[in-house]
Amino acid sequence: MNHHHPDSQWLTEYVAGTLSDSQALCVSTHLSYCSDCGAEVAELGAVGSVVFENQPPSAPVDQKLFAQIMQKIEGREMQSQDQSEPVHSPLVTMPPAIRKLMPDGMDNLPWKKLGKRIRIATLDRLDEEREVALHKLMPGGAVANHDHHGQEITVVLCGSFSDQDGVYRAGDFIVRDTGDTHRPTVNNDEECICLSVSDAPVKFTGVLARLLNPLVAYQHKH
Amino acid sequence: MLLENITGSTPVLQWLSMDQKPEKPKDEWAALMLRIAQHRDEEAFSQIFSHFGPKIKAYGLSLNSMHTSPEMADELVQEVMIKVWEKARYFKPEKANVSTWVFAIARNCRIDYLRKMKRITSPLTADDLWPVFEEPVPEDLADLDKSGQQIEKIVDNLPTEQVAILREVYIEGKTHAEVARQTGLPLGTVKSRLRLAMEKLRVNLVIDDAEVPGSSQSTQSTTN
Repeated sequence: MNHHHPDSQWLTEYVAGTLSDSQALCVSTHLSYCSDCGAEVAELGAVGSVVFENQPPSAPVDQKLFAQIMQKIEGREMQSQDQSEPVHSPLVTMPPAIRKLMPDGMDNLPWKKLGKRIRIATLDRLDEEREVALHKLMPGGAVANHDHHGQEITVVLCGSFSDQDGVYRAGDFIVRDTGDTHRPTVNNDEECICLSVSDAPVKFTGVLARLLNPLVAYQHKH
Repeated sequence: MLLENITGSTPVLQWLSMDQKPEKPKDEWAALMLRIAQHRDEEAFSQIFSHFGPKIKAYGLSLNSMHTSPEMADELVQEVMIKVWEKARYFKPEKANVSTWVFAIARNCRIDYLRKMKRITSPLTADDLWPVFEEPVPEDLADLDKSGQQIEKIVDNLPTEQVAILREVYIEGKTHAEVARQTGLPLGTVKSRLRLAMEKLRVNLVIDDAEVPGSSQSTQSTTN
């Protein structure tokens, strides 16, 4: 059961297709854990389709187009008889879009050590303005306090952590804006892995700051 | 062989040239999809094309972007219809009705088209991020098909400013922030109109056909 969900603006913009790719990645990841939001997305989709159906008539569609479509279909069917459809294996450990972003598996990602208890692996960017990364928080106490500059979306993929505002479990969707500072602590002995999409570099505050910030800056040049 | 039907003889073409868009009850559209999935039935496909082709084209032409053009809209019609044909077996009538499904495919194709025009290379496609063909299935979707027709009725009865915003968001592809900027409305008003529309839908769906009193809400829109 998740307790932290994208709000209705997020879900509406997701369904309408106006989120950036990396934001959509966060919402779709949350959806693979949360059937309540799934139901809302289905409802929003039904609303969208009614607006879609009720559009004022467009310029007529040229009837030659149908013949062209059939021709293309025929061409494609001849070309690849056994076009292998993607295998829709049930959600094993990670949502499919995230697995696609780490073709060599999670262990082979270029994990970088950031202090004692954080590992960060930067994934391919999906849009220019935002960085996509996985954060691994290790058990054994709080990780460094850090500040957010710009927006950061976090979706918990496995394990759980807490901060002053609450407990976050697999599937939880958390949006933090500029100025929020928090000090996450991993619960239990399990490591916690999160998807993180951020507008701007995260800045560490406190004792570790001087040590860590150059690393983050370095991280963001890549 | 596929082409003979279309270019050679007339039935399909006659069908296509009919101007009126036949309105069918939902299960008839679903039945057509089933014929495509199971029998590769071109006649069924041409009926789907006649109905949805113009909707997809209008959807393409409505996009609020410098890349919008009639050529783009035609390409979108092709892309979407080819997907409808190739992915027909993924259509599950118990999960969504045909227009919801086609709308989702059109949205994804439009996103991919834009990405191509902007020369953005990405390891993921819209279908990865907005899964249409492997939707995670929440248990309580069974009622959705039933509610489709009700939603249609309710959307028809919404105040025009709510319908206008639904259109800008769902069809013209504007973010909430863009709608606010372009209409001069505060973001909060944009969000509250959408929320009111959704609440009305939800209330109506829950009450299920019962009369909903006070359907004219005109107080919310004058907050700027």
